Amino acid sequence: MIVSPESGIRESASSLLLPDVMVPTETLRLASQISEIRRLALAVEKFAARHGVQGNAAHHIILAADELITNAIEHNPPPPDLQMTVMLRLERKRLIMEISYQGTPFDPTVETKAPELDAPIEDRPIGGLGVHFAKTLLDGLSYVRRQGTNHLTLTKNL
Amino acid sequence: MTMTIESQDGLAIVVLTGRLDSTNAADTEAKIVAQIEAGHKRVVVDASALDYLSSAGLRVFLVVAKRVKAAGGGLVLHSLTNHVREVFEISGFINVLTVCANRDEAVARV
Repeated sequence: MIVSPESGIRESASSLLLPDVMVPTETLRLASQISEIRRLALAVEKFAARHGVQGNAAHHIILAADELITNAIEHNPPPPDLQMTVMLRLERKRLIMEISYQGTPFDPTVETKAPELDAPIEDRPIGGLGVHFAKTLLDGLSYVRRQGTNHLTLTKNL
Repeated sequence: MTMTIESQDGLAIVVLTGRLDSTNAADTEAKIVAQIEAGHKRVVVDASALDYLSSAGLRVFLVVAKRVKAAGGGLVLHSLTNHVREVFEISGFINVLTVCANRDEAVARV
């Protein structure tokens, strides 16, 4: 993990915004590379296990994040040295993940129409399912662009 | 993820273990396509130990299904885990790909 004065400031700034000091949080920094998704998955699994998150919530938020990050990297490849910041937060009845990264504006929530799920195999387009997965698996997905940074908020009810 | 392939007399049995996602989808696809090109156009995928599948991984099955169909063969998956079954359901692939309960049934159907 890279610790820089800048990241230190950012972490303390975000912790000031927490509604309750007892809300468990964890911040990760990922390189903008597909291979980092596994590290994210492991970190979410550990976070969920440590805080007693039951059922499929961790799996669903991991899969949704995988789809959104893969999409972001493949559609608009950011420089690999650019970091993505992922903040996990466990509220009383919700698991929340905030993904922030600089680069070209990219809003996956308005990206495509829903895929045709009943189309025969010859007609199924290859790809285009990722955002559908994320929307289906999550209870909330929102996007904002702020100061040159894309922010995605993924919410999973517990 | 680990992948083992046993092939004989036109039938390839592909056993997938762990995660199939955007990091290994292309490699997995290439290896299965190589089997089809070598004449093993009946493909059975044992997914009993596949516990993570993303849309990039699902794309592998779509490509393989199209390839075997064009070659006059078939693709059958069996023993889906709950996580993988859920992905098949939300994508609608459960209706377009053949899924069986076990290996014997899959080999008979493919």
